[in-house]
Amino acid sequence: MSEAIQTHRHSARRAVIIAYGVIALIGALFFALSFQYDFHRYEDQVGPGYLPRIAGAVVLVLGIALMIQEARTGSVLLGDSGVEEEQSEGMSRKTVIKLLTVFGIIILAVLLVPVLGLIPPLVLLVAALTIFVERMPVLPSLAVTVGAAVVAYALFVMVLRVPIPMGVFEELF
Amino acid sequence: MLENLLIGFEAALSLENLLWCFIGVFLGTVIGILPGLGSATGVAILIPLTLTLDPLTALIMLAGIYHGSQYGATITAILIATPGEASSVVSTLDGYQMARKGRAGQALAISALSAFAASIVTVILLFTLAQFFANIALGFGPVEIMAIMLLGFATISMFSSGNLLLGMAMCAVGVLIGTVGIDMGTGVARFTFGSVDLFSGVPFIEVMIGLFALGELLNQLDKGQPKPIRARFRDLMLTKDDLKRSVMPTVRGTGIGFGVGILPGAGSTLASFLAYGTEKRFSKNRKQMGGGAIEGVAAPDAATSAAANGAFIPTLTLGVPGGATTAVLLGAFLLYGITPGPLLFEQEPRLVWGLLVSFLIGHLLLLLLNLPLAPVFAQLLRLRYGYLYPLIIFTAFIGAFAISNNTFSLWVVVVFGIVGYAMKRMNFPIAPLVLGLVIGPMFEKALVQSSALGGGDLMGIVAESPTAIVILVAAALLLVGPPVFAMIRGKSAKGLQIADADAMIQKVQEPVAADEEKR
Repeated sequence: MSEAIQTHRHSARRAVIIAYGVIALIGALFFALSFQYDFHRYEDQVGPGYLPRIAGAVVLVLGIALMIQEARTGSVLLGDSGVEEEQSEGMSRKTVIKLLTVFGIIILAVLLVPVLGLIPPLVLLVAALTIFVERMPVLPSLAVTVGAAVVAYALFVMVLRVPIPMGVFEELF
Repeated sequence: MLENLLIGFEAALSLENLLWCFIGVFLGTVIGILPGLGSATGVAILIPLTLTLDPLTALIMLAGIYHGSQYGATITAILIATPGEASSVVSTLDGYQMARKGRAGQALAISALSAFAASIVTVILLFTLAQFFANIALGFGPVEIMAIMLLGFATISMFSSGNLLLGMAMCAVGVLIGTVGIDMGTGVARFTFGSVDLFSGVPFIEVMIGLFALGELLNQLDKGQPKPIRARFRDLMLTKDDLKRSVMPTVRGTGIGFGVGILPGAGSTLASFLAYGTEKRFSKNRKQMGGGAIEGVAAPDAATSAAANGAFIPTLTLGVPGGATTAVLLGAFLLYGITPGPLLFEQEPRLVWGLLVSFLIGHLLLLLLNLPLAPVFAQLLRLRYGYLYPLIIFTAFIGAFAISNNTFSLWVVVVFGIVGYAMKRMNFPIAPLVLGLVIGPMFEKALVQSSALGGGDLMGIVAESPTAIVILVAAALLLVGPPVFAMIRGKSAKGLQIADADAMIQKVQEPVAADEEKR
């Protein structure tokens, strides 16, 4: 097993450096914005800006340290990140399109919630994912979709009495 | 203690609690088996269903899911070399090899038995030690609590990934996200940008649904699911030799698991790795390890189960979770308006003892379910992922909405789903982020209280507490010790590490494709 954990020399991985950069940026943002709040309250006690400023600084420093570590050594502890291995295999174009489609459908469904209510967009989401993205047979997919809608309505609306928004269908219920 | 136990049995043995305990362990087993779902995800998604339940009943069900999913995760580790939980990674090493050699049933049986034995022993230890630790913790003030939380941060940063800096960074990012909202000390709204939705902070259950459920499901999209190796009921019979060989690994695994489990932030993954490593070093049959040795299944599964129980000691007595799932459970406690900590044992004896007793019942139910029904549960692996993940996304969104009846929750799930997906792709550790997020506000509260106690002299008040100093030194040693030790020793051989998980799974899964072709 020891060969599996050795540190290998690799060229720096761009995706990982960017990710570490995002971490540093998050730290920098919190650090900068924390100056809106008092670092200390009366008698030098911890104020509302204390933890965000210190934690922000820590994240900023760690993010930069991680970027430097990656850029200088490009070392990969196996299991630390599978990014390089995955990149070398390459994420297929089909997978990328599928992922973007799924993300897009999810975002569209959430955008439709204020208009159509909670359940209809999510039902459409299930139908779209099973029929169009996964290319599952239509009838079983529709059965799954209708089943999910009925169970969700029975459980959340009738049993748990969650006040679910109905959007334009409000008057029907 | 006896009086408390009686209260616990009385509470846990009510018909309603027994039923929810059964539902919890059953759902947990299913969740552990289904691809893309783990205990943290399962608990996070199903919290909304428990909102109308009595807190004890709700926690019994959620704890049942936690324990059940550990069993389910091992079934997938053994039958398709795909662990449902990080803690089941090492079970794939020998478990899948046993399955390939036609001993899948025996692997499943010893896994269930060793986990059961470990859980019964450790539940009894919990009964004995939980009150003891709670009594010690009663003497802790905000300074000591703050130090323990820092120890938790250090432990989870250290053990959650192969990169300490990354673990620390994720933990600190979690703490930062936890600072969003109204500051409890001053009432100042921080980082809310005028959004009323953010006044009460970033809702952590929704964050967890996003990170664990949506992130993991999306990450599974391009991964195929191999068919499971067949295991029949009659294959579950163990030989005398199997049992004899499994006794000591189970004992060692139980000890290691419980010891690691009670450390704040350590979690069951570390326990299973340490238990496997110990067997590789000390077992009589160590040369067979990796090739289908029964010790390689018994020890890590016992350790996982023991650690899962042990993790409730820091969670209940200190309010510092042992790992990601206990962090989600801690979130559930807070959602029900219960703050875990030493006072919980005094203020809510029915809840604490009822919950602990339910572990005993839950593990018994799990054994009864898993021993004969493991092959039946394994059939779930034949479910088409194309139907499964849209339904889970559907449930996740409705559940997230139900928590606060607010569309804002849906966006939190989407945003953190994307973050979770990116983290999964990069193999960034999620557990430290979650721990930082859940513990962050409590840590800040302890920080503010300590500062007030010291009249603004934080260092001074810390220096006055020997307990806090010892804990802080331990935390510092945990972070600084291993790199310094490694530098001194040079390029010495390292032990089995959690960082190896991916490489290990990859290695174990190599024959899976070949097996698939053969079948």
